[in-house]
Formats: sequence, C-alpha cells, structure tokens
Amino acid sequence: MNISRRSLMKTSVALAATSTALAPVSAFAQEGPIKVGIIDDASGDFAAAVIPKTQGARIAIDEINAAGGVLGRELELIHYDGQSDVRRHQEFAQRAILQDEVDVLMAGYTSSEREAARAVAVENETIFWHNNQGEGGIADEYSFFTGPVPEQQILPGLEYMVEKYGKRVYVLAADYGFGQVSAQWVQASAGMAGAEVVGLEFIPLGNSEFSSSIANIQNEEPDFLFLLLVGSAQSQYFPQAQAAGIAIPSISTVNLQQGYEHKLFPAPTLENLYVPVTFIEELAQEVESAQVFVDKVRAAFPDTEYVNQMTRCAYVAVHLMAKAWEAAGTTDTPAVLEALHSGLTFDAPEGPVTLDPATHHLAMDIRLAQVQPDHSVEFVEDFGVIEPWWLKEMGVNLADTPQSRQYLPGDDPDLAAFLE
Amino acid sequence: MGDIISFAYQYADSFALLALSSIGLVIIFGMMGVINMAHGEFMMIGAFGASFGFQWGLPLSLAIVTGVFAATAIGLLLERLVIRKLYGRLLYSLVATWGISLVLSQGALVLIGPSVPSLPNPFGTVSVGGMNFSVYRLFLVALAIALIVTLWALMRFTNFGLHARATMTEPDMAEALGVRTTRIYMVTFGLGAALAGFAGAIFGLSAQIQPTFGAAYTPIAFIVVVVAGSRNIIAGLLASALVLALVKTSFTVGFNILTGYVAMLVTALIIIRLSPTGILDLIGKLKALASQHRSSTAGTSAEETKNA
Repeated sequence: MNISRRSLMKTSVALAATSTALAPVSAFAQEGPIKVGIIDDASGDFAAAVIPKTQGARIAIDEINAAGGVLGRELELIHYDGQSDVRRHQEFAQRAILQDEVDVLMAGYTSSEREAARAVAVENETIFWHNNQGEGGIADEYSFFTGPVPEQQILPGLEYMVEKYGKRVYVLAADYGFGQVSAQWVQASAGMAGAEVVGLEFIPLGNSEFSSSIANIQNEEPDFLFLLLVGSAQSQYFPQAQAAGIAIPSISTVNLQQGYEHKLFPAPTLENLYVPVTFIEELAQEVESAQVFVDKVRAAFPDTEYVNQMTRCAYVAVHLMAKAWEAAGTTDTPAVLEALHSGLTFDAPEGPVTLDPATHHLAMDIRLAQVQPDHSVEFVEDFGVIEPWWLKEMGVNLADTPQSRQYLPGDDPDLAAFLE
Repeated sequence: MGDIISFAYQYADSFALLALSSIGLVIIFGMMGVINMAHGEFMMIGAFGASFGFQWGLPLSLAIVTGVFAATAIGLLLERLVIRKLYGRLLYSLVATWGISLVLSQGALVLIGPSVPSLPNPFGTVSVGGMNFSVYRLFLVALAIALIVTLWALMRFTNFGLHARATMTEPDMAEALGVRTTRIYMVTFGLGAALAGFAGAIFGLSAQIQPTFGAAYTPIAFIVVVVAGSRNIIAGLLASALVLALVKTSFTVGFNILTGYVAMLVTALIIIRLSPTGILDLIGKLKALASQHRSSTAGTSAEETKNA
C-alpha cells in the first residue's frame, strides 16, 4: 500500500474538519428532545392488541409536551414496529440504544419479546419499561413494570373463583415463558386456596385448533377454567368452546383486557369470563378518572378499537418517567434511578399508583370484571390497592441492593410446595 | 364408546381443517405448479370480504359469497398482472407470490386496520352419547367432503376439466388442438383463489379476522399439498388429509397438541422421502410390494403342493 504524505495530510485535515463540524451538533443534541424509544408490534399476530398501547404513550407525550415538556426539553417518541417478532425486538433495541441513543426504552408485548429487548437495555445500562401484565418475578436495577403481576391478578382472582364455583380447576396456558410461569402460579395459588388443578395443557403459540382440549375439558368437568391464551390464533378457543356447548365459568389474566375478544367475537361467546384488571375501557362506568382517560384517547384516536390495559400502562409509564426526569433534574441514568426510587406516585386512570422502590413494580387498584351474555362488562369485586409484595418476600430490595435475575415460583418454598 | 366417538369427531375435525385449508392451493400449486405463498392471504381476503358483506347488512350466505368474489377478483387481477409471466418458473413464482403475500397482509393492516368483527356463527350444539359437539365443526367436515367431490366431478366430467387437465399436462398440444390455454390458466387460477377465499370466509365464522389471519394456514396447506403430489390432485388431497389428520389426532389425543404437530410434520417428511412424487405413488409402491409378496408366497405354496 502506498500512502503519500500529501494524501495523508489531506485525510487528517478532513478528519479534523469533520470533528470540529460535529462538535457543535452533539452539543446541540444535549439540548435537543428527550428521546422515548418504543418497540411495539404495529403488525403481525399481536398488532390488534398492541396498537392501543402505542396510543397510550403518544397521549402521555403530547400531554407533557403541551405542558412545556420536561426540564425545558420536548419529549420525542421514536417508535419501532416490532412486527410481533422476537428478533426484531432485539435488533430494534440495539438500534434504539446504540444508534438513536434513546433516554428510555419501552418494549415487548410477549415475555419473549420483552426479554429480547430488555437484555439489550440492561447490558447498556438503559432504563427499560415493560407496559403490560406479566408473569412477574423480575428483579433488575434498570427494569420497571407498570402492569400487574401474579400476586395482583392470579392469586386474588383464583381465590374468588374457588369460593364462588368450587375447587376443581382446569388450566389452558400458552406454551412459552409467560404461560409456563403463570401456570406455576396458578398451581401454587390453587394449592394455597385448597383447590386442585385437574388438568393442565400447554398450547403452542399460533395453534388455533382446540377440539382435543375441549374434549378433555368435557371429560374432566372442572368447576372453572383458568385461561392464559395469547395471540389471535389461540383466542379461537372461545368460539370453539362455545360451539361445543362448554358453559363452564372461566378466568383469565390475559384475555379481554389486552385483545378485547369481547369486541371482536359476537355475543355471547365470552359469557361468564372473569378478568382481574387494573384498567379496561369499561372501567369508565365505575371510575370518573377512567372516563376522562377514555375520552382523551377517543378524542385523539377516534378510530381506536378499544382502550385496553396496555393503553393505560404505557400512559402511566411515560408520566412516571417524566416525573423522574424532573425530580432528577437530568436524564443521566444514576440520578434518574435514584428519582425512580423515591416512591413516585401518579394518578392513573383507575386511581393513584405508587412505584415501589424495592421491586420496581406498581401498587395499584385491582378489580374483577365479569363478561355478561351481551358482552357488556360488570365489576363484581374490588380488591382495592394490591402491593407487589412477592419479590419483597423473596428478600428483594432494588433501592438498596441492585441485582438482575428473575425469581420463579419454585424459588419460594411456600409456593414450591404446591408445584409438581 | 364415548372415547371412540370423541376420537372420530376430532379426527374428522382435523381432516376438515387440513382439507379446507389446502383446497385452493391444491389447484394453484398441485395442478398449475405455481408456488403460491399468498395462499393464506387469499383466505384472509375471503374472510375480510365476508365480514364487510355482513356489516353491509347482507345475510350470512351472501356475505360469504361476497368474500369469495373478493378473493376471486384479486386472484384474477394478480394472474393477469404477475402470475401469467411466471408459469413454469417455479422459483420466480415463490419469490413473487411471497412479495404479494406481504403486500396483501400489510396493505390490509394499513387500509383496513388491525381487525374487523367476526361473523356470527349460526350453528348450535349437538349432543351424542352425553357429549356435546359443535354443529359448525361437523358442517366443516361435510363441506370438505362436498367440495372434494364437486372438484373431482368438475375435473372429470366437464369440458373445462378436460381442457384444464390437457393444458396442465401438454400445453403446446392442447393449444394446437384449439384450447385457449391462457384463458384456461386464468380461470384455473381464479378457481384456486375462489376456493381459498371460500375456506377463509367459512373459517371466519369462528376466528378473529385480522390481516395475519391467513399466515397460519399457508404452511399447513403446503404440507398437505406436497404430500398429496401432483399426479392426481384430488385423490392425492383426500389421501394426504386423511393420513396426516389421523397421525395428528392420534398423537394429540395420546400426548398433547405440540406432539400432534411434530408427528404430522415427521410423517410428511417420511412420506416425501419415500415417495417424492406424493402419497398416491407411495400407496402404489406399497400395493406393488404387497402383491409381489403375495405372488411369491403363492408361488412357494404352489411348489409345495407340487412336491407333495
């Protein structure tokens, strides 16, 4: 290789010029907008459930910007379409953090999508939010959660069903991380409530044929069903069960509040389905602030199909982050983490929520919704504010001792006793 | 007894789903040799069309007809614009129709939205031996059988069927004999799209209708059609759906749903490995083997008699 001195000179001059030219730009970027990176599925199998989630984030960002932004800076939403694909979540998480340098990342509908994006965020010390209900148990310095966890949904919901309908429960769960861990929670909760799991089937994601499961349920004749079905393919269980004459009451921590199956299937397909919820659109019947929120969403997005749990979760997450940035006076991660550990509260659509510093989860109101024959929803029980207590019982206190792992029901001797 | 009825019901149900999912593709891929990756999207268009028809106030049957028309129209349009240029170019058709499938499902998401209301399901429940069964699912079984019989009659007894079979086997000779092969190609492709649209609209009675509605059916349809082979598409389809459904149902009942899928895929692999031209040739080979065995044993016994 022959590099002449002259060309070398030229190159270095050019390089110097570029770096001086870049310097003011990067200084300006510091004063530019605060970037909220969001990876939500706008296409693919989960799009119908996840599109309302992005709307919640947009509304929060518009509200905050209209009130003057955060630290005098505007919030900028950078949305990536996760395409209901785990690999896309990983790729976009890398792009958001390394290339677009987002100040916070909110991503993932399924637990597998969440983990793909979250791993990238944690590795790069970026604050991460997951904004729908999940299998719980994640204790991580950089990860925060706005959706309810098993001790807030499965435990109280199952107790209610056992008391009302009886002790024999049959479980259908999606066959991946969330479904498997949640099914363990159902087993443990059933054990604690003195009930018996008479059947447990894992359904592959994307499966839409339930004739064998339906036959098994008919043979077993349980008192109630616990459904953890994920995605539009699996939701075909509902019309098939109804067509086969199954009239057994059921409970779900996933269906209706995310995929609004009661709006998509004709009544009475989902009759007698119980769902423990933080928020669904019908909560507007009961709670004034929920009505205000629904009106806001519908005004901004007149074509929206349903204001679901995730609309609320994304909305709450953006507002809590804005509060943390304001309190920290900066977007630097250590200072923001400290602010997030200060016991932040926010008036969520369903009522006030508190961000628990020890677990990074929310203490929130939980109510039990019941689907009526005409697919309207009634709230049959108010569990009040439920703390995210389980991780604390496992000795987790993220405000004092940072760590990064997921606790499973089997790690808790009290729960493990009831697992097979 | 209850177990037997239940197994028979599940087997019939599984057969109907496999047969209906693949009946459009068996024409377009099995007969015409076009790898149609947009098969599921034709089904999606059928379901969307039916949902719109129903929302416009049409009775359910006419709403389903609307769905069939929509799928046929888009199928014919695509045949004119794209597919026509791809006959006999297998890999080109794979890439082109894959692109079409992405455009159709993403286009539906952008233009129509993430979902439309499902169709009402007018069928009830029937009780046999103390067990409840869905009349809708039994209707699917009857429909699958009726469609296969109709298709067979169409290909066997009508002028169109004769011309279509001639065009697919010897296009030049058919043309020389006065068959308008371009028209035959177009009508046959339209028929495949119509059947896919019909299956989609019927499945829409019991599913969420979304842009990704058809994606799950495409791979299943290909498995059934590849196993069916192209020698005699209708008998092949029947044999393929019957065998694969039997394997899938047995393993699902015996173990679980996942094992059912795996067993079905492994069976398909074994059949294709033993007989790349499809299940009918495999059955032929087995028959030949059996008769050879019979004749050889018959021969030995004849000798024995002679010796005695």
